[in-house]
Amino acid sequence: MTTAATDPITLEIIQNSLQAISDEMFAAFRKTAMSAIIYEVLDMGTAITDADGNLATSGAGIPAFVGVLDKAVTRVIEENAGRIGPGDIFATNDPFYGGVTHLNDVVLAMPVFADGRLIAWTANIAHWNDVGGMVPGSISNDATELFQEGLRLPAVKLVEGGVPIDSVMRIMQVNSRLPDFLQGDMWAGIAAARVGERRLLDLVERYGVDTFVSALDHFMDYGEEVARRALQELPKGTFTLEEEQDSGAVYKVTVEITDDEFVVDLRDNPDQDKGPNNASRDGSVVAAQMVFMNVTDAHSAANAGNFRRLKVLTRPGSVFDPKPHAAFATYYEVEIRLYDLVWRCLAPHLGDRLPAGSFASICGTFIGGPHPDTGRHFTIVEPQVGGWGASATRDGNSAMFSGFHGDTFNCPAEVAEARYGLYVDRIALNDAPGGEGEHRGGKGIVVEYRVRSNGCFFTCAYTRNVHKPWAQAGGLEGSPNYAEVIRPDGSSETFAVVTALPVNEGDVIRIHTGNGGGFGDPKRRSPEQVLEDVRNGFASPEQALEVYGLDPALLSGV
Amino acid sequence: MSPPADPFTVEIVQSSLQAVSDEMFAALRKTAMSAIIYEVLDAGTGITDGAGNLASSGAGIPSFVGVLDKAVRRILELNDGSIEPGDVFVTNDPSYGGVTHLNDVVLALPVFADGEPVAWTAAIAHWNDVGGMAPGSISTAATEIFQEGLRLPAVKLLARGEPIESVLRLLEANSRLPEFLRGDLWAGVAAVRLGERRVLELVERYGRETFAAALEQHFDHGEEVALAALAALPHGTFELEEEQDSGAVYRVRVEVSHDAFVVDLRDNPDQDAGPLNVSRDGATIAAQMVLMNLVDAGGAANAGHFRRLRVLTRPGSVFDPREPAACGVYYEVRVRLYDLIWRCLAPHVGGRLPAGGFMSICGTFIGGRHPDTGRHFTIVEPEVGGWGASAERDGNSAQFSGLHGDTFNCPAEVAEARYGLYVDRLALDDRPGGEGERRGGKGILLDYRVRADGCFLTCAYTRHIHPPWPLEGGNPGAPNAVEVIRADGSSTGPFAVVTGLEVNEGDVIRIRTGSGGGWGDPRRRPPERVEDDLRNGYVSPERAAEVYGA
Repeated sequence: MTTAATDPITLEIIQNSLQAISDEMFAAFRKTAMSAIIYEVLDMGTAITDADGNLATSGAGIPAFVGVLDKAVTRVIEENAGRIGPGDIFATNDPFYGGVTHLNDVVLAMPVFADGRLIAWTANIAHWNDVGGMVPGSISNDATELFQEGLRLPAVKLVEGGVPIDSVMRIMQVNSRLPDFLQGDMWAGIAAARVGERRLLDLVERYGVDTFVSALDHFMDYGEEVARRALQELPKGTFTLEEEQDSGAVYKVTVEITDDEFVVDLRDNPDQDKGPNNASRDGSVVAAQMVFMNVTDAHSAANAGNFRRLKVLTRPGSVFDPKPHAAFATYYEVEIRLYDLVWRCLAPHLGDRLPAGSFASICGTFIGGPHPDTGRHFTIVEPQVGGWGASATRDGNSAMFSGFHGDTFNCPAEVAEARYGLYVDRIALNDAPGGEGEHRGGKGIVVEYRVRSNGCFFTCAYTRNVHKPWAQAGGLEGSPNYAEVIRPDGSSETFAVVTALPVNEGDVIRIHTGNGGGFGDPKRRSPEQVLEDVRNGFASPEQALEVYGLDPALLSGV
Repeated sequence: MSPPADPFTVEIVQSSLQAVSDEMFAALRKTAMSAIIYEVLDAGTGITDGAGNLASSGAGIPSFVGVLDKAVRRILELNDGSIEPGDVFVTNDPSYGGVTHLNDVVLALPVFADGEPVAWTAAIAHWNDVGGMAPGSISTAATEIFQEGLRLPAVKLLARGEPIESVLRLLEANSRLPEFLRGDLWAGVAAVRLGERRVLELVERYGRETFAAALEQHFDHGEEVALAALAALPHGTFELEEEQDSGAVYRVRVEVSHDAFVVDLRDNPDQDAGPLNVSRDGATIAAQMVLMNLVDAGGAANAGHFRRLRVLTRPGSVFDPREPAACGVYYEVRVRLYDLIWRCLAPHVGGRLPAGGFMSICGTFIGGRHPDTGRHFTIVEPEVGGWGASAERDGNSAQFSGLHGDTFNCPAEVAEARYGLYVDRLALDDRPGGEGERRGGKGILLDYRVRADGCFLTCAYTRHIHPPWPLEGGNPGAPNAVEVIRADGSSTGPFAVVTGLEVNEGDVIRIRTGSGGGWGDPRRRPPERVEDDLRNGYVSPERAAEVYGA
């Protein structure tokens, strides 16, 4: 028995190593994945937990995804007690089995053993293009039951003692419309988990098991301490908000902040949706965790300790904690609405910590059909970038992913054109009015996909369409998210939600994402900034005059 | 090459295999959890040789037994080199030897003696729910097999006797009725394991070589029987084209010679965009069944009987669709094909085949919340109907179609207890049709009264627009149809195809199945038989006067 080292330098090295290992797993995954949604869009995450499934590092990838992994590991442990051994890899994608999100997001988790003792888990999650179900791409706005959304993987072993379980692999492949991609992405995930295992074992070898374990404990305690101090600096009280959604549903939140607790009460919310607009309880917790990190420790890496002071209350059977066998395909819009709701509830009360509302939708865009060059089926699964809200100190960012996605990228036009059978005719910042203020909201985008073959489909489910991004302190609200389908004969229709709309050669799918909400009275925006906006095309001369009240004389020089 | 066995041993081995199939069937029936298996007997068991050749005609639904050899052969192809004693394989996918649709799950166990594979025991049964877009997994709206449930591609479920935990849990998680799935699965495993034990006893008693020789000789005997029967049939090329209720026109060309029976299905429509497709294996079964009817109707089929059968199909057609065609309603396509080949040959084979029957599975799916338990129930029921008349006799009443053979309908008491429905009425149907010198058998009238709100009805019957066909001047039979009579007295129907129709407390689902076609001019029916029909209520006095001239 070695004695655990407790000097802060060793602990810090271990902690940073864990972060580096998460990054390396992420790189391994990205470089070996077969689908552009993973290697280009980076719709994925990696993380490390301790032996019990407590998040040890904030990992890498989509923040909302990293928050899934500890919950998945916890459930894998519950479901497989007594059957977890070295070399095993478990798979789950089912919100009722630790999968948290929807069936397309597959979590792979690997226990790490040192000297026969379980010391940690490496885990990753990625969006798989197609896991079967009632529609290509597996996500349908018409789903009413989880069974319609694809193959459910109930936290089971995929690899045992390092050997793939052939039956499971073959079942997974045959139940996907894109089995080659599934296989490629699955092995990328396995490779990532194994890289993580190897690096963790290197660490353990260098510092010893006990030091490793105590470093994890120590850092979680530290996370708790950081959160507790941040809580003490926050305004105390009970804050409530209710907000109507595009669907007509009214979501409600009460946040209670005390010196040592942050309670998000979601119990008074509608019954679970009959369609796929549900977020699992775990998913709701992820939304609350993200806002909590934003307000307590925006710049550092999260671990389980940060969240010890967070309590999330939900009502079983509600949209934020549905019972079996609710559908979850568009969980992401529910979860991001909840994230935005908690944010909006707190923003007016927390000084300048939180900016105004943003386009805040995943703007998940699904296009599929026969590839015009290869004849094979393609499915494009794309989140979209949009405008963020303005804050007390600055304009909002333009063309960024929502807070859920964090540091991910959109798929380059060239990749989209080569992989998918589409032309990308245009990507530009969105000119629509909206989001003006002393600080203005960031700009959304306009992207045009031109369809190249007949018999394709288009599916989307955007929010912040009816109810636009919210403003703060007298700014103007942002502009809506929507898609427009323009036929070769010039006719067009607009949608925020549509399932499997037939689109054919020559049709253009034009996507508009919203501008973020403004902060402060637009009349108080400095003339120089307004002129700059006019020069950049961010504001039209008419807007400059009417909304910002610019002196017409100043415009003549533009 | 195995040494020849004496004829007594061959006969004993053969009869024993039949007995083993029956015992497997009994085990499956007695241990299954779902009424569709233990009451309706929508199941089959059989034994093949080590290479997947059907060794006994097995037990259960004839068209199911015909699946098992094809499933075993595909398992052998896909798992070459990794088949071991104690393994149990599972398939339900037409592209992976599953033949029918995803609800029909085949379990197959390789039987090893002295380390050598000597046989396979196999069982197939309809599982209530394997996931997919609709409760019960079968949707007339499906356009891809991915929408029809969990695909099991001929993989191991048990390895060397040990359940593969991940696979079992995957299966359960992907069913709306996981407890039933588990119960039915273990019933199937018990059946194939029982078969294994009995086959090994036989091998032990007679020796592996004698056992193999007995199988081979029996195949040869099956072939001889078929050849002798073929020689006695009229030879020639017979053709038929027939419009279906869907408007599609199916065509068949049968060439009968002294040593071959060729069923040519190549000139048929492209595969259906919906679930009305049958796999090539399934189309072969339809041809095999007609062939057995002609060559050895009273005997037990084995692979030898079918050595002289050739079935020609066109890939991409409704009888040989490509992946990922939906196959949920395969059974109506296959029963149509069976009826088509039958109808093609009936006028030419000297009374061997009667006139057309109601000849639809009349698969009826009702589901929802059980009014007493609040749990989800799904009723999956084929229906009985009338068979066609032949030269010698009236058609049988209220029997399952030829694809079902010796199965039973679910008793009203069981249906009422298990499912949340009342069975208000079950009677022979009174509608006219099927009159002739010999009249067609009667279909039924069945009323299900729904007891809970928010239930659904799905069905896909055929022989609704085109009724059962007569022979020799008889009258066509009556069509298959469903009507829904709402609690307020309004009604919907009659229709034959519907998916997910909402039905609520107090609604009555009225099912009428067709009467079979008649044989011969009704005017030639002996008056005493017409009298008898009148007394039994099989014909109304008005209709008797009009049709029979009574």
